[in-house]
Amino acid sequence: MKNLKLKSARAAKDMSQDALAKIVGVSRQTINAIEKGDYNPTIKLCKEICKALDKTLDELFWDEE
Amino acid sequence: MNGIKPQKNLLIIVNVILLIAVVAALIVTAGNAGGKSNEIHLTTAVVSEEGEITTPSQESTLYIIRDGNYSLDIDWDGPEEIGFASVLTIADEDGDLVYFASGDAVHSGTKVHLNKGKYTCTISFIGNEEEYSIYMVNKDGLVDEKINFQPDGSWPMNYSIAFHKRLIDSVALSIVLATIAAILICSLIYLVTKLNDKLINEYDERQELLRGRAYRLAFIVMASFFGCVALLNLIGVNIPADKYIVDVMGVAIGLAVMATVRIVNDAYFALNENSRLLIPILCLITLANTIAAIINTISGNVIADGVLTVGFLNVIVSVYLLYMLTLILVKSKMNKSED
Repeated sequence: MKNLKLKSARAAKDMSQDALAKIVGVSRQTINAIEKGDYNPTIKLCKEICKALDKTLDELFWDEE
Repeated sequence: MNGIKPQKNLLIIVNVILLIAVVAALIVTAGNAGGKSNEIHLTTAVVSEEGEITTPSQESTLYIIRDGNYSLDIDWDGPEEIGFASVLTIADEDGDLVYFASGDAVHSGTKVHLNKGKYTCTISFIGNEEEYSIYMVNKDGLVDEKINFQPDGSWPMNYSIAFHKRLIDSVALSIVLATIAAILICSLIYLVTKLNDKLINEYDERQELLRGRAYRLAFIVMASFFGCVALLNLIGVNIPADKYIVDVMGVAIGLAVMATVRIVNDAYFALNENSRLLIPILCLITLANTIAAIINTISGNVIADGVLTVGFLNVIVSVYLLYMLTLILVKSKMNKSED
């Protein structure tokens, strides 16, 4: 399932995938894979992404039915 | 933190010293393992007079200074006719036979257990036509009628027997030392790369996961390939390629599978690797290999008697590199359009 919340949070910060990837220390393709829902990140990486985007885990990674 | 580097430097120095010592010991033990400990040469001029050998046997003394298993290295080839060496015996000091072998039973690599002491080695020759007939009947069940009787006499033949002590202890020690050397080399690489962070390839968690999957898949494919090759050999199907070619082909297929999974999933290049620098290098290597492959093909070094020869290696490597390069370029093009 696509992670649109992450994509919009990144866009809101006017940040490219590459820029976010560099901040959290992963490849751009990994950020792309998370946004497309092709890869489930570890909690460690989720926390890094949340810190970079000033969001909470719930805001970015919690699925609301 | 500052105290860690000197400690690592010391570890590297100790590692290097140990490595040098182990490699030196390895050279010495490996040399011993392959060395000749006992060797005798029986050189005899077999003389026949009117079809009868005047020297029916030749003796030589062998001194064994250490108990153990010995490997017999014998040059036993010669024409099967009157004067042909047919029997080898080894007797101890009391005259008891400790080893006996006739004609075909004796070959290089025959193992003999010998205790410390003095032995007498005897090579018996086929002395006359009657003995020759018996030998040939026992051996082949028939007698070759075209016997060269050596009517005038002199027929110098060199029969050499070498006893190599099968230094199992040396071989075992060599294996242990080689293992230690390998561990030391690995730890040295680890220490050096730990000291310089730039030397470590960094992959993120997704890349690590996919690299592991690629490795597993490549292993399965490669194992299947070699399994198929073994099966074909078992059922007697002859693969028209040199053994090395088949081996390299298997490795190349495994590597290609691994590279494919990694490149397609963007897990091939590390985060701190500059792919823009690596691609031109890869292009150059591919070009050099392709030129070598073309030269080999044109000069006819690729196939001999309908069998692929070692010259085909360049073709395999070129195909592999061209495939990799194409995959990397296509993927980087796709990634650019994705950006």
